[in-house]
Amino acid sequence: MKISLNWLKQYVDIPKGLDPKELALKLTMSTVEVEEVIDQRERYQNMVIGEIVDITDHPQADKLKVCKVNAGKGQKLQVICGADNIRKGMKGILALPGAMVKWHGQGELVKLEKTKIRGVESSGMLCAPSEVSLAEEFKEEEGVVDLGEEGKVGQPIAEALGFDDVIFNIDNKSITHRPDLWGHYGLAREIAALLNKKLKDLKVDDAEEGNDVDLKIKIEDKENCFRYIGAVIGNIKVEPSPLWMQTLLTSAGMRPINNIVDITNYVMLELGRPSHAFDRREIKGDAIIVRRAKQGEKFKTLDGQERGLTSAMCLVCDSKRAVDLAGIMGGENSEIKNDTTEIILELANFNPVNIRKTSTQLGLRTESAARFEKSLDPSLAELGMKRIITLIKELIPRAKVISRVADVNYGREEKRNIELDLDFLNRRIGQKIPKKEVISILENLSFQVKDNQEKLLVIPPSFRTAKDISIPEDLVEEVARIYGYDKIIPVMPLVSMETPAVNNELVIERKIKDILSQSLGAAEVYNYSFTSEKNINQLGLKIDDHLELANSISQEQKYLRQNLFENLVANLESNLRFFDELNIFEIGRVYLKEAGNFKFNNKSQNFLPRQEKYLAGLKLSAGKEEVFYQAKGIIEIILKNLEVDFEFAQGQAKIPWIDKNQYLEVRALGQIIGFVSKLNPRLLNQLEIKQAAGVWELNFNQLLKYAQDRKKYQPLPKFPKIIYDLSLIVPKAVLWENIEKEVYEASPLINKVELFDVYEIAMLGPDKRSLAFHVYFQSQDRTLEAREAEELREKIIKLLNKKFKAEARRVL
Amino acid sequence: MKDQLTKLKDQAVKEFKKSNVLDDLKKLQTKYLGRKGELTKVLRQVKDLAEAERPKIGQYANQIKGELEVLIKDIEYELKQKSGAQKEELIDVTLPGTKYQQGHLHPNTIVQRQLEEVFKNMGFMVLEGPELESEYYNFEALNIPPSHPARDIQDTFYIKNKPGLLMRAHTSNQQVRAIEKYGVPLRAVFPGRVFRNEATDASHETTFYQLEGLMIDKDISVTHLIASMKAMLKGILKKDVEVRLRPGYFPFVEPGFEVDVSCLICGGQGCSVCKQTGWVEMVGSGLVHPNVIKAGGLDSKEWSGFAFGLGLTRLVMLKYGIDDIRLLQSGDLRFLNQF
Repeated sequence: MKISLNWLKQYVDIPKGLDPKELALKLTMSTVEVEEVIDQRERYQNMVIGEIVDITDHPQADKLKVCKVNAGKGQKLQVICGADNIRKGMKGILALPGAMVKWHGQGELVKLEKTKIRGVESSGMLCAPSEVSLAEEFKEEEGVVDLGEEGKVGQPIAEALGFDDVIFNIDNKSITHRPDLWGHYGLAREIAALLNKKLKDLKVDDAEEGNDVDLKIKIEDKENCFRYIGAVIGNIKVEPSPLWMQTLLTSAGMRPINNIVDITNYVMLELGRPSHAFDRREIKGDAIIVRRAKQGEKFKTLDGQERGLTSAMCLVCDSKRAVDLAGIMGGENSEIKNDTTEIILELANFNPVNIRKTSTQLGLRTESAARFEKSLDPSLAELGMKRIITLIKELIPRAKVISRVADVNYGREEKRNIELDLDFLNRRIGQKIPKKEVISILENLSFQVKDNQEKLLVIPPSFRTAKDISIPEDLVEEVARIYGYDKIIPVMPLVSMETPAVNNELVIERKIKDILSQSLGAAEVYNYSFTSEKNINQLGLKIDDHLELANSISQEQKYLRQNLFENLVANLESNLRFFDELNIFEIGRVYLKEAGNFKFNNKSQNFLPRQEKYLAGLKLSAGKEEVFYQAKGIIEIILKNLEVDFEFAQGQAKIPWIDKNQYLEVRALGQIIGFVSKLNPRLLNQLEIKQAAGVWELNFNQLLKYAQDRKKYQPLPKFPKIIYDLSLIVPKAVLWENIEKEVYEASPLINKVELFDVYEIAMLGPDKRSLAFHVYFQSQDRTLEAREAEELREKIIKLLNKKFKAEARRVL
Repeated sequence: MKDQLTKLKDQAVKEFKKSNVLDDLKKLQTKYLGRKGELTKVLRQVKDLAEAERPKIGQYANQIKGELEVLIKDIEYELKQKSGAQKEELIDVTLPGTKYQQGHLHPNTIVQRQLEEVFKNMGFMVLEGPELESEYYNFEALNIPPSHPARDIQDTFYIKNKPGLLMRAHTSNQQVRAIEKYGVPLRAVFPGRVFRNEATDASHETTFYQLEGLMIDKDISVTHLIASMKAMLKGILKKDVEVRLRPGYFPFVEPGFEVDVSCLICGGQGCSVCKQTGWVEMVGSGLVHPNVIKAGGLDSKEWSGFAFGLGLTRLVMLKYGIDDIRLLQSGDLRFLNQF
């Protein structure tokens, strides 16, 4: 919102020596955020009215023109321009070297300099509205600013456009709870309180009512309209409003139209109170009826757009038809025209929630709607009506109220009395604020204060709505912010010394991430919690199993991921354009339809959908390494580090997208906590990936249950070990797991069996493979003799031969 | 006897140094250190010495033996070098070091950990909670009534056919959950992923990270909040930054504050990052609204507290100068491998 300093000065005496930037800082520190301070004269330095006297084609560029621009004082400049709307004789804003412009209306202001554009010299710039912060005043889409044929060539722009103001750009987000600050008068009130100055009264005359016209008002939709004040004014002459009003409106970013529309806009920007004026000729039967729209009803707003309405929306109608989209925009059928002589003024209070919903639904965000949706002070309607009539009479002295000022009011005003305990105030602020100062601050903000010794009885002004001020804490804020947050001395809270409870989940998560990123060389990725139909289908999973967003913004983020691989596999696809190997992992939540552990609320017996954390990864190698074993190795390292008592088990994979022949479940105490496998060839083919991809997954929440931290040191062996290598030719169907088990069972002296080579070659026979492994013999209480170990070795070979038809290769 | 040993040593050193071929050296080694060598002979006589003398001389003789052995090895090495039997390799020391496979943590993980450390040191617990949340904890418990604009479908992701369920719009959902679970006094931070129904571009995302904090105790005041915010930001930014508090509006605090720090890029001079103001918004905070305290089942007269919310993703982007927020969730290893 643009606030004009000249406008503010009408209501409060701002000391001459106070730099506007300093005033803006005061507002930022105590009231609202001033995002930008624009000194118009400074802003438009080195900009003059320029007249295009000649246009020729640019020799190097089709879209550019070379213009000769008269800059006044006999100066003719060559300027390159790409706008479509330029013509000979047109006057526009000519920025000269040194001027500050925003390139294409974006980014920072930059200083314009003489330059060459595609080889042709350009000594200035014809500016588009957004390049010189005039986007609200001129139409951007037309090209550069077109000042017509009027205006004195060479006149400084600030002078020509009447810019001698300082504009405060207020962050609208910082005043969503303060409808009173959506106008200059409200801000002036804050400034008066901050500077300890008097806020001047608004000139408001009591309206003299007439009775020539019988204005009938009926509110049918009481849910959406609480109050409607209407009045008919005659003897109107529509003409441009006086320059002072036009200038202030322009400064505040509003385009002047005619005196009647300008007055309603002026009061909106002054009091934050929107209103509407109808041409009385168009209001059939002098009747105003506020009703719900019919589903599918069409209505043309005064911007010429036909809008389709729903039965939730509210309309202002005459006896025959709709004439106003309540609180948002008037109808084209009843707008003020140049020959309008009688108007009907509307000051109504509409339901803020309904206004917001309607305006968002229709995509029609107007200044009026922005104010209504903040919950306006109901009594402001009355003040607004009086102020508008006062201004109309000021501008059009012959104008006259020719009806009663009709007021249909279903609203109830609740008096809010707040008891403010001064001790409470001081304890919440943490510092004693003198009572005198507390009272003075509140009174400067128009609160009524009754001093009851330790307590104050405070009545907030009606324009500070109940949503804004209703409890003592709200008053704490009022006092503290005006007193000045920078005057409050920071003090650290004193608390008893305690170590915070350790969150084991995070400790383990951190450990896992460290193992993966540091020991296993994997890269951590973060994917969206959402996934696409494509990603789900790709894995052969069911769309119906997935929770779906009710209001997704794209196909890519439509469903809640049920599985980290839905997006991890997509990572594989996108990264393979740049990498031929990958080792990635992710820890994150997945969301299932079934109920989980978190409650809806403390009293509810309903649980939120299950959303456990999972830990999953993909391993893809460029070379011939067996990715299945690599993935398996990752799980082994993680689980060993977490001291999980685990085992791999062959199982029936129910996962559609993996290679069922290379699949192992990970079990801890019989419970399945994860798996290791490979992407199945069908999926790889779809993704056009030539390499194999190992996959692994662990349920992080399960993992937590089995992780331990009780490692104990093992004494170093006192006696030497003997290592024998065995190389066996074994039928392929025999699993290593079984061989290993058999070897261990051969003797308690065997304390380690370590596989170091596996190979299959034709000379071994079609169904055979060679397994080579070390066997470690060691005793806890004596030194073994070579003979003993040799005997054991023979025993193992015999055992394995008997059990598995394994044959020893004695080459080793 | 000591002199005798010294003399023997000097003589041996002299002769060793004269040897030009390995064979000579071997002969000399045998002459002095062999089983019947000169030094060995002397050593054998040690046992005949007086008891008091024995250890001293023995030690000295062993020392000489050790020194000679080192000398022999060195001369042997030099001779081998000369004869070309052992040549030093020609090494290009400018070749790169061995490439070990290195992994990477996501930048958000790195910064989140740093923040967690700061808060743990200040006595805060670190807690997590559901991302798919009920309207109650995301809104109602936080003094955001059903008609509030923040509840609009334009801002929050709701779940189809599951009334009352949404993707949490902020980590503030943890406030009342934490009070209910851990009671008071309470000091906790809640880092995590939040969701907004927002069209994405370089600075807007549907998914980003926040870190919420909550402290509840007796008589927590604005002075405490200001001091804590300053201490926390100095801890996080590890710089003596300027911190200022100004009014801000959030329904679940009263009074509410925006906490700004002097711009990390320009130091307060004004630049494009701080929009020429010299300040960047870093934290939203305030005293916990009595309705939130009540929602946690507490007496708002007895307990008060402060809450704050910090844009974790924003901090990550500032720290590393990341100019496109979408990279963080892209899974693009060209980006992730930089961390």
